[in-house]
Amino acid sequence: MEILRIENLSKYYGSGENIVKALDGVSFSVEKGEFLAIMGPSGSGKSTLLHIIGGVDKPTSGKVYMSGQDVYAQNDEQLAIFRRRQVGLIYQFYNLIPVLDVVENITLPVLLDGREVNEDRLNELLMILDLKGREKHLPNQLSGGQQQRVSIGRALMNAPAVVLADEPTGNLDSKNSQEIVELLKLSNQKFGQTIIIITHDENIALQADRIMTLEDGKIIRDEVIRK
Amino acid sequence: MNIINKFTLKTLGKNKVRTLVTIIGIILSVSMITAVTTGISSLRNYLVNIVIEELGDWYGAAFSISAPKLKEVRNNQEVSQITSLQNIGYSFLKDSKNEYKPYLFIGGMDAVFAQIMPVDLTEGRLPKNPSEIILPEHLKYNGGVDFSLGDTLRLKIGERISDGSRLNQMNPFMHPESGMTEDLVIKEERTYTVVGFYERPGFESYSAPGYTALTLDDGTDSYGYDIYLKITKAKEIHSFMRQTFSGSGYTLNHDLLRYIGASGDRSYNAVLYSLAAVLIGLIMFGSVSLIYNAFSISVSERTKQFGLLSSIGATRKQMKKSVLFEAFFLSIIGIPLGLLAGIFGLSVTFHFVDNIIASLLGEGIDASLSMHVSWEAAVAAVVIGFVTVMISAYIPARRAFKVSAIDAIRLSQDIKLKARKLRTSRLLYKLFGVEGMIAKKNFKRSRKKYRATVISLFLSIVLFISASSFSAYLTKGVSAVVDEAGYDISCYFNPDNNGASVEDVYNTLKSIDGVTKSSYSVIYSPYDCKILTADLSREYKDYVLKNYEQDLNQTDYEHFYIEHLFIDDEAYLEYLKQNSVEYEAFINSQEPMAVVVDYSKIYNGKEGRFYTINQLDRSDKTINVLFVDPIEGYYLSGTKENENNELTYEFRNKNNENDVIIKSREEVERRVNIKVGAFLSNLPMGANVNGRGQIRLVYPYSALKTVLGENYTESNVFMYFKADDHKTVFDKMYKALDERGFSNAELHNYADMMESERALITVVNVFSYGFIVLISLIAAANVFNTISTNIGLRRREFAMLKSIGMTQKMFNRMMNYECLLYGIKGLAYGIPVSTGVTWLIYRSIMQGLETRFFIPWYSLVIAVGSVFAVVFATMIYSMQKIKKDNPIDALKEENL
Repeated sequence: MEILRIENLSKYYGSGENIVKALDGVSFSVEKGEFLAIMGPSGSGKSTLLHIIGGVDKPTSGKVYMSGQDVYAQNDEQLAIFRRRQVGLIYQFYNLIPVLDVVENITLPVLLDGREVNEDRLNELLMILDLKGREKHLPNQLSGGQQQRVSIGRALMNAPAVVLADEPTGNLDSKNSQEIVELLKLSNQKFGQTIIIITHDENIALQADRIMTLEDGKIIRDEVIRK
Repeated sequence: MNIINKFTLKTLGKNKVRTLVTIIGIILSVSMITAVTTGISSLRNYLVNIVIEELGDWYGAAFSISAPKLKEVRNNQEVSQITSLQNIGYSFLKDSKNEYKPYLFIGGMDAVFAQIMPVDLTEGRLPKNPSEIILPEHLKYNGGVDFSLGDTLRLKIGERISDGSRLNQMNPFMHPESGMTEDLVIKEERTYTVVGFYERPGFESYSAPGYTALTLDDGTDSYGYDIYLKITKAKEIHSFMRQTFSGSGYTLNHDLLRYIGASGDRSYNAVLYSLAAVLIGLIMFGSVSLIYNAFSISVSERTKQFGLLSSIGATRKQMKKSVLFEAFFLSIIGIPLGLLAGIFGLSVTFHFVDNIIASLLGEGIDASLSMHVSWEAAVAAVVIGFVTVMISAYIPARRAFKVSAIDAIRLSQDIKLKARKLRTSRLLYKLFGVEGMIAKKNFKRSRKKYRATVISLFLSIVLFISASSFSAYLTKGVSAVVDEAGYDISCYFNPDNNGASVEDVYNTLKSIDGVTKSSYSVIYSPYDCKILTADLSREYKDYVLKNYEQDLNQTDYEHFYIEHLFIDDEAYLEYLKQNSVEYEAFINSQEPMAVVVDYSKIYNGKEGRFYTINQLDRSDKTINVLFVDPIEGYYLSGTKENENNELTYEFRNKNNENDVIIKSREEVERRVNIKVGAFLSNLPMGANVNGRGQIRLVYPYSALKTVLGENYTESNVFMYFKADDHKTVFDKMYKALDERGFSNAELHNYADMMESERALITVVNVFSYGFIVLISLIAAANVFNTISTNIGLRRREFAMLKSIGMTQKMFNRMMNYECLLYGIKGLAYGIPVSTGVTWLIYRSIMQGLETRFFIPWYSLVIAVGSVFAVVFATMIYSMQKIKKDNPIDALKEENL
């Protein structure tokens, strides 16, 4: 089943001679439960693509359909709700709220949605993320790997349609990096979670189902390595 | 310019709004300091000018100095300015009506006398040769001797001699009544032409025996000179005069010396300077907190920069220099502008209050309140301003340097969080949802970030409320002295000494055009009277017991001052009507009842406050009074026990202390039951409120003879008039009284006095509101600066929340809740502290004035209103800026 479809997506910065084409007519689609890795050199448009999919940046032209819904046909309010329910974002620099503790950070999307926290899911996530016993810690009391696990928890908490991870291991050592990838794979397999990950690391990319390579805002390679 | 300073300037340029607000803060604070210092120096200059105007521009004066001595003093190096008046001599004025001023004193001015001394022509011109003369105006209105321009005076001039020594203007006339005599020994005859008249000179003392007529020094030196001089070192004038003029009379210009700060009496300057110190202290407090905050934020933003710099080898000294450079740079812009703004603001203020002040001082004084920018005042303002900025910059900088380089790079110091257990209440969650929760946690867990804002809010509230209570009390204090009496002109009349009756005078004045309302009253105060203590109120007895340790229940009678007030029937009826008292019973009755005003205002010196007490037991409608009847020509000097242990009264002759009469109680005591028609708390027009132990009995005038007896002759009559135009009416009344020969009726223009008192209130208000406005501006700028920067620093946090799906509405709710927290926190600390400060202000300026403690409610309302207004406005402004942020760009920022 197709969960994400990108149609002729472009994003330009500047105008005239100084125009920078971060994305230039990109089209592809992602099946539900797929684990997609996006690679490419710096400035190839990977992050821009991810941000547009995540609803935090706006395209110059083209369309993004998530679960059949035209993402950018929504107003700001609907877009915020879309981000809250449909997308889980993981950043290189974690971006946790410093004044909220581990549990509060993880459950924030649910709380923002005004729903009751599903304690079972929370406990399951804490267990999987190995954050048991650290529920009341603030981000500055955690190591980098722990903080990134919290941000994964936050991304997964709402069981979004897509989890978008922007170089989630870029700031971590190889042991911690592997742990994070394992967690993403686990959620992919266990919950059937659709995952799109940006990475520079060939080893990590090879653990995905499909690798897409961008260069100068265009897809230059897109191969399924695992079915 | 070194690289660190370049960094500093770039940072300032990048944060334009904050730099601007900081500079505005410096401008405001320097302009206020300038206004205070320049205001003080202008005021001092003004007072000096008034003294010079009245008495002349000199420090010391000596009289009847010989010509050689004058020459010697003129050549003295220490003397910086000198003028002399040749004592030509005295001439007898046979028409003088003032028996203590029977002479014309002729003085010969030197070339500069008319400039240095107050010689203010009202008519004509100054004399041009020794045969021309000008006469003082009071020769006519005080002495009754009338000359006109062009008159020729042939004067027999001589010296006043008493007991063989020569007398001068400092020796009052030896009136035969004093037992001493003086003679005028005529030496010559001169002829003068009157060429002008001048105002009564300040250098002629009130007791001087001769009216001072001025001509020019004729060059002969037979008589001696009065000299007025200044020396270079004003402070040494006393010893200079003592040494130079030992043996002859000299005097000092004390007022002038006091105002220029050269006299031993420093109390005047002390008041002026301590007022300035208090104001400058308040301003510095307010501005340090503003500028400090601005720097503190800038430094915390730059902590990372400092860390980077220090990690690549910048020394602490270099970085300290860079902060001071920032302060210096901002001062260079802010201080001169502040100086100009202060001077401009003050001159505008002076321009508007000058007329009011002129009317305050009355006519005849030409000195006007104008800007006097002394270099001391300007330097003081610049130095104080600069010190303020430096203090504000240095404190946060010192804190930043304590941070280690790596902590600085990580910025982990500024966001030290504590994992407190926080229970967010269910109500909060219901009302503000998750946004409220986040706001609350933000607030609780990173207190440091919020402290700056809450403190600046708190300070603003305290400054604002204190400043407004200060001005409210000042106004109250001034108006407490000013009584709104309900009349414009009063006339005091004592019919005893004159043939005219009360009716004559009253009808004369009442019939004058322009009088709109009038009344009169007679005050009778019996000699000595007591009230039965059983008639006193419990409240009063308690007060006396508590404060004077006197138990009134132990004595039968207590001394009271009982004033009988008879007001004309018409006014009486109106007075009763105003107080909703049935009035038939009071008028035309055989046995008139009194309206008793027993309400009193008692100042308690120990507690420093006023008590208001109804002194009588109001349930009892009769007052038992014991009068001691007076004896004609005698006064009651005391009571004594005689050999039989009986109380007796002792009276002494008013003119002869030794003439004593002893009377027994039966002979002079008279017990009277006064019937009370009504107890009231307010008095009719013209009467002041009762003090302790004083009550008023108010009757209609028609009951005068019934109450006081047929033989009573009216005295102490007060008449009150309201008029359309009190000045014209007053003049007409004056003329009317004069024409009809009612010379002993004293006319007072109360409204005129009130006008100048009101002018004083206006001046006080103008200055205090100016002060409040500026302080509030500082406070508002302060809050704006802290909140907007704080939000700027949280851009990344907001972007995070946005990226995980917080809507704009939720943002607004979160920010609203934060605003509420700020406001409530600020007010929760601010209001109690302001109340305390207001209490201190009350205690210090209300000493002795009749005001109860209060907090000006409007200032509270304004404070609460503007706290939220400023907080919300700033939030909206800053959020507007953030709203445009692309969350991705914000997230990429390395801040936090």
